[in-house]
Amino acid sequence: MFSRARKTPLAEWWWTVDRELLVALVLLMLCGITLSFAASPPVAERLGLSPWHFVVRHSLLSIPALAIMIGVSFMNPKMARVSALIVLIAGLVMMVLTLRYGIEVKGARRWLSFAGQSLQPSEFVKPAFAVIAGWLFAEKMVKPEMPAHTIAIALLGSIVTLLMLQPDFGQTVLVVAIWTALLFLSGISWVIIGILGLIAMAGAYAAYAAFPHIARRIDSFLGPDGGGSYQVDRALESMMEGGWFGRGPGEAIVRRYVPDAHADFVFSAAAGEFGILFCIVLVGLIGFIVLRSMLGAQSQLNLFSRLAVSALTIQFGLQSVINLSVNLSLLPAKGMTLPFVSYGGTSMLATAYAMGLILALSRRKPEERLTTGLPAYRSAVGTEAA
Amino acid sequence: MSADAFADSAPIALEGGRKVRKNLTRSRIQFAIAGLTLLFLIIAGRLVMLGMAEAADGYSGAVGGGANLVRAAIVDRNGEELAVDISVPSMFAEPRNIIDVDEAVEKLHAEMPELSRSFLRSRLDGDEGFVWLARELTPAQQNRLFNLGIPGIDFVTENKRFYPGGTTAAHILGAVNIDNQGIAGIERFLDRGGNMMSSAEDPSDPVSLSIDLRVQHAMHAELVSSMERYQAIAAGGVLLDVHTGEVIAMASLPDFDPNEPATALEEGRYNRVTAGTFELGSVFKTVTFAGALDSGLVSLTDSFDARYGVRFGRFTIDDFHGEHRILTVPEVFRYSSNIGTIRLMQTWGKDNFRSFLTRIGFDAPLPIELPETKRSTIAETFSEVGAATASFGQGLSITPLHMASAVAAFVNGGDLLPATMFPRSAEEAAELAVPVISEDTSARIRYLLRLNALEGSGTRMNAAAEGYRAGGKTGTAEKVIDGRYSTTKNFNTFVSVFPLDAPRYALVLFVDEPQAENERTGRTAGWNAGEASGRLIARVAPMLGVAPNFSEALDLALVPPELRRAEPEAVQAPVPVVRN
Repeated sequence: MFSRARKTPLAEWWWTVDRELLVALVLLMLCGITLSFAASPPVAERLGLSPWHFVVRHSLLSIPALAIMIGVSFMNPKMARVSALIVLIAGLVMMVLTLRYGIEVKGARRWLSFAGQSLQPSEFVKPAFAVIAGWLFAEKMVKPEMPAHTIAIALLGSIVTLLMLQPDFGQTVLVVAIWTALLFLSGISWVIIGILGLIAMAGAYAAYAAFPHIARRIDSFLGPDGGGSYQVDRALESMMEGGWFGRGPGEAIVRRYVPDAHADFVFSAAAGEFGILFCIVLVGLIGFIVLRSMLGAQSQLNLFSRLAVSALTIQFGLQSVINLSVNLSLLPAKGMTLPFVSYGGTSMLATAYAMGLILALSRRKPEERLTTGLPAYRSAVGTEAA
Repeated sequence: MSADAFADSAPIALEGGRKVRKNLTRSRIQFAIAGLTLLFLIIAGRLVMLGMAEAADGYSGAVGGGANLVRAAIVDRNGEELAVDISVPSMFAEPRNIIDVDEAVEKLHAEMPELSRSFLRSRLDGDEGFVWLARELTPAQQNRLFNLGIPGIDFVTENKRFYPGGTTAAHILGAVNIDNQGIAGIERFLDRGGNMMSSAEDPSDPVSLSIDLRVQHAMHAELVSSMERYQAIAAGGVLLDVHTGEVIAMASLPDFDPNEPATALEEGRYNRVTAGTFELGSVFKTVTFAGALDSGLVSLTDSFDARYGVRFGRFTIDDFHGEHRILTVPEVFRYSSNIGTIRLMQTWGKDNFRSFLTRIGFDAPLPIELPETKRSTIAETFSEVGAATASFGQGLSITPLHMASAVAAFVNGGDLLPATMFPRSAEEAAELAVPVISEDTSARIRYLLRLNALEGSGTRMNAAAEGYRAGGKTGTAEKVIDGRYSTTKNFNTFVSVFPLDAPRYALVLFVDEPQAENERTGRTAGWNAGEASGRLIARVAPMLGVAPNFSEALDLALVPPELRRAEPEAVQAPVPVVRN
């Protein structure tokens, strides 16, 4: 089936896709399921659900997630771009609808209820924006006369506006980070980077001054005795409870008291059972995925693929780093999921889509040339996508 | 941001420009890789740090289950244990591991009949991972239950608080809940971060209180016997060190057994010394006298007309044991004349009186470390009649501890000290002291208290505590029952100080609704609170290092100079006539 003798789409995929990255991603999904066993039963019990509610849903969701990831990885760059465009437009429309018809949870309107399922459109907008923005930047570099930057900034502006209206500060940070990363990668001068850095600091201060809930979180982070850091305290306790090797499955106690143990704090909740060594391995796995993807991006000859993969990877990496830092009390509490590990349907499917795009765009394409930006084998080989 | 900023390289040599950019993006991606790697290394480093911290502290996850909380032992000022932790087994079940629920229910019920079948069944049915069955068992019970050999039943060792003294210091110590968290008294105070008060750096060091367990026991025992003897509904007392403000003993009846914290919830078992406010009656005259004498507007040589009652509109205030003649100031005190006290207060001024009450801390919350306290009820400003009744302690409510602190200040030279449950040195006390009256006034209050013990309402007390130079004042307050002052239900207080030649301890002891012991005895404070105080002083003075001394010279030395010539016979041999 995977024989190289004939160029079936499957064989083509198998021999060009980054298999190490694929394996690492599947491992991460398995880790997510394992951790949900540890972290989510107490939360489910607290919510009056069956103890295995979240475990079952998490596991069941992993199947479509895997399918999406592998399915998307079959796409060629052009299809990836088109799909991203569709997802981006659909996502933006849904975000507008969210503002009007969304469900309000904890003071923010981020969720759209759809046929009994709730959906967070902004999760899908993130990777789609990364790809489209990467394409715009690449176009700008190849054809400077295109108003690509203006379009990218307009897109960014509209997404940020929609996110702040929800409000969702964490996603805003990520989206802005994607755009900034692309700017940086596309080679702007260090002077401008410095200026942007100053603007970012000013923006952070403005957010602190303008949004009371952000100010509260930062204050409670800086002054741990000031109260309000209950989540972080419990998370740290849970981390330390397990020690290096953990107390073993089902044995940890503090995890029962970790709020959001199935979602944002899954990492620390699970630490009590599996131990700090396991946590280091998990961080290593995420780090491997990030570095492997970045190296994959670097080896791409196609400018669009290179920028898009980098942007997607940076989004994945930053999101993981922020979540882990909050869990380890290195950053103030911020609602951000750990990709593939935290519970959350939309987050998992959107991550699968993003990872699928990384796999698709980082496939080895030896014939490709930078000059055209298009794969040369298109005419020679015909279709390669499934 | 203008788009031109990024199109810096002019597109003259397009091919070359692309190459530069190609290399540029490549090097920029390397920067990004370096940055991300750094972030992940920081996170890994933090994890290692947490792992090391765990290894260093030997953290055992004690925080999650409150049951494992270790509490510092509480000891009295001499190191006697008042509260300690003991390890006890608790039984829990893992219902998902129980094979035969019926068998388990029958066996457990046979061994521990207090666990009903329906309770056991509801606990053991299901597939939970952990349910408590019975906590704080004895080792023998554990052994028998263990030998039943039921799978899915197990034990953990918990810390249980044990109070060797039982009820002795119940209201001081308070209690802990089943998770060993303080819920009342000093235990609660310690949990709220009050540990700073103790000198103990290490939580395993015991926390030392100012209580003297021997004195505490004597007071508790004396109150128990008084309750019975006078068929009272409640009783209480507090003994203060007048120079440091330390509480040496404090008890309130009815009390509870801290080993059975649920008993504390029964009606009326609160700590009356700190959390009960009462109209204290004539003992309050001590306050009025101290303030009036200190103002200089009244002196011991003055006299007041107590021939007729004082009229306020349709009310007339009269004396309980009316002499109905002109009385000197010491006579007003020892005959406990309401009329004389009102006249004295009026000479001083009602606003001065009111501000004096604030100065001696009656408006402020009790500075004591116990969480159970109550604020006084005193009118913001006094009306004429309000000031008149307040001067003899009716119409305003304070806690007995407020009174004790004030009396301590009146006799120690005039320094008001916040009462404390923790040991305090004389130097620490000196820093906290707030002067409220002069040393001279203090000497005059000592004289009046001793005079009252020798010739006034305190003679029954003095008879019981002969030789310990105790002095005091009675208070037989009428209780408000259904909005009226009752003539049959009294709240009796006795305020005393000993030894008066060099005061060391102040005692406030009260008996609520006492009955006469027999037909020949009275119901007023001298008969019950007074006598009980005398018995208690005689019992605890030797423990506190106060030696008896029967020399009359000591009493004569108390007489202030202005009275020595005028009334040399003022403090001669005690008269056996009893006036309450």
